[in-house]
Amino acid sequence: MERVENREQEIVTDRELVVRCRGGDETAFDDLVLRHQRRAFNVAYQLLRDHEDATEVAQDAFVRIYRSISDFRGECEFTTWLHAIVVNLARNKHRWWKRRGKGTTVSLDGPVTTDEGERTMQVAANTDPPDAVVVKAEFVNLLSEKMAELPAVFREVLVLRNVKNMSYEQIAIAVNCPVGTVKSRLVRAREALRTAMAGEWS
Amino acid sequence: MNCQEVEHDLSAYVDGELSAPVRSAVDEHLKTCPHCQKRVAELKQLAAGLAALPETQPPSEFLTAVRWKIVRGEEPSDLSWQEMLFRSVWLRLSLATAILVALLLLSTDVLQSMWGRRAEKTLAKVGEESAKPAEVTVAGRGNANEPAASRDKTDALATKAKTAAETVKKNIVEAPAPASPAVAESEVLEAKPGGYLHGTGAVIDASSSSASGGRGGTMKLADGRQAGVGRGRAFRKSEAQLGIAENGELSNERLVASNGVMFLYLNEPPPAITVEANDPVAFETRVSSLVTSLQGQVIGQDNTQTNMQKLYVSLPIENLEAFKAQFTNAQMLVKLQFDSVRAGVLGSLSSTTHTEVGQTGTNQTFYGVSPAATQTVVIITGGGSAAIASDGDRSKLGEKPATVVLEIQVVPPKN
Repeated sequence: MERVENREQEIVTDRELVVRCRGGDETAFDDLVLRHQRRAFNVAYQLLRDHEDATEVAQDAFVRIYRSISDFRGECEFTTWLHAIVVNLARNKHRWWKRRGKGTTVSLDGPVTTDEGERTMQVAANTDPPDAVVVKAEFVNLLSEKMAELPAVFREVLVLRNVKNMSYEQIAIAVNCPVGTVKSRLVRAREALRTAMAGEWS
Repeated sequence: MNCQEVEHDLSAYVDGELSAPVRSAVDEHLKTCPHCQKRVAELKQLAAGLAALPETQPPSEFLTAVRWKIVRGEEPSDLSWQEMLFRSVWLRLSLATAILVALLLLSTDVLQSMWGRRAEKTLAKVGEESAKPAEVTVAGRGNANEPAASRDKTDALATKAKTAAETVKKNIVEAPAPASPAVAESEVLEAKPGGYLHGTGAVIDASSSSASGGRGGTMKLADGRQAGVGRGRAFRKSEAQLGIAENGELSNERLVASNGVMFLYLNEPPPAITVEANDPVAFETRVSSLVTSLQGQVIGQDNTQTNMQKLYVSLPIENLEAFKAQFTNAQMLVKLQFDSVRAGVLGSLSSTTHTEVGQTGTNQTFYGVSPAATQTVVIITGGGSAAIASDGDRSKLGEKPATVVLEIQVVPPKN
């Protein structure tokens, strides 16, 4: 419960800082950057997998916030807004690279495909699922690698949901799509990741 | 519910994002379905694994970098090409407007009081150093943080200066003669290699070699000297230069206009004030309040430089020393060089504070006389060209200016 209260407190503090910032208080903006730079950078990093690109995107996100803070009416939490901007800038960065021959494309509606063609859901032969969720370092490392291979739209929802603990509603705002789409995209993203991790289940 | 129906909901089930009725139904199904139980376990493991992904520290000086991006007016690089185009046009227009400048006349004693020994160099010495100005100007602008002594006469700089001068010459040759009827006297002059501008006034304009060609002009100063102005490819496009000539020889006094403020250099430009600031916005705020408290004002800034922000402040001359002292003591400064200041005399650019007395050509502009009449103002304007015009009241030239202008170069911390 304490964690929940801290989160509430954070939201309140963010809201106050935003108000001060809109009133022209430059130090409030600095505080917002200092409070959330790590978050912005890490989300960008998970999305882009490149230190330099992530740094640029995270910094540009704050520049954009600085410029448009007067338009932000608190319709959502500050962090949701921040994530939305980071996601958007990361997408453009991604697109930019794609135009130059890097990156991958993905159809949001088509079947999940891999290099070996369309995959159907396959269940490993194990029985007796573990009660407690134990993740080993090797598992996390591999997961990190497999994440990098996922299409960007899948990474977005996975990062926001599982790394940043956002609700479907918040994710919908951040990635600019309906909640239903967030839900189905997560299903597909997890299926893709699960397939990629086949054989690694403890 | 069967497995097929449930499977699609398991992801949201693990996330706690199912409505109560659906959740109950899934719970029911899970009690009897090992297949879906396993699926849930895998989803939880995935979630735990993702939550355990290592976080990376953002680079140090993150905030400083953000601040600098804001100051430089950098835009996130996701603009469409239409936006880019729009912005660059807008940028060009504002730049062209900002470029131009006012000047004033300076009295030697003021300069002496400000620059001490530098001003003691006599015109005789000017002659022997006539090769220097271009060198100092061209090379020095790019190395504003270096001590003046270090950029004296290295071969590299000399080469640069020569190149610059040749460029100037080339472009002068190519440029049509100034067409402005408002310019008192127009004359295209020769730039000699290694030198700056030579002759009775000068014209440079290499920045627009397009249809209208270059433009420039000369004017006679009250004391019989002449001045010429121009902008050139050899110089940063935000700068215009004005040379002052005497008896057919260009003196080493030059006026350099940079984004709306014109400076007079005697012999060589004294170093500007250079400060390292973590937060250029906060810095500017503090400078502004300091200047205001001394009856001065921040008259402009130049955000077009890549690694530097320039602030221009004007102050009553009698408050210069107080400014120096307080500025030096300010705790906001990480590092400060304050050997001497780059100072000049100022005429403001506002059309409301100056009487417009003429216009030179299409897309050119205006010049005028400050109502205070202590300054003769020359405004040089853009559209890719530069022009100069005298104001008709040259009797004021040479009077002691009441205002000093400082250029403060704010740079990010080095470490």
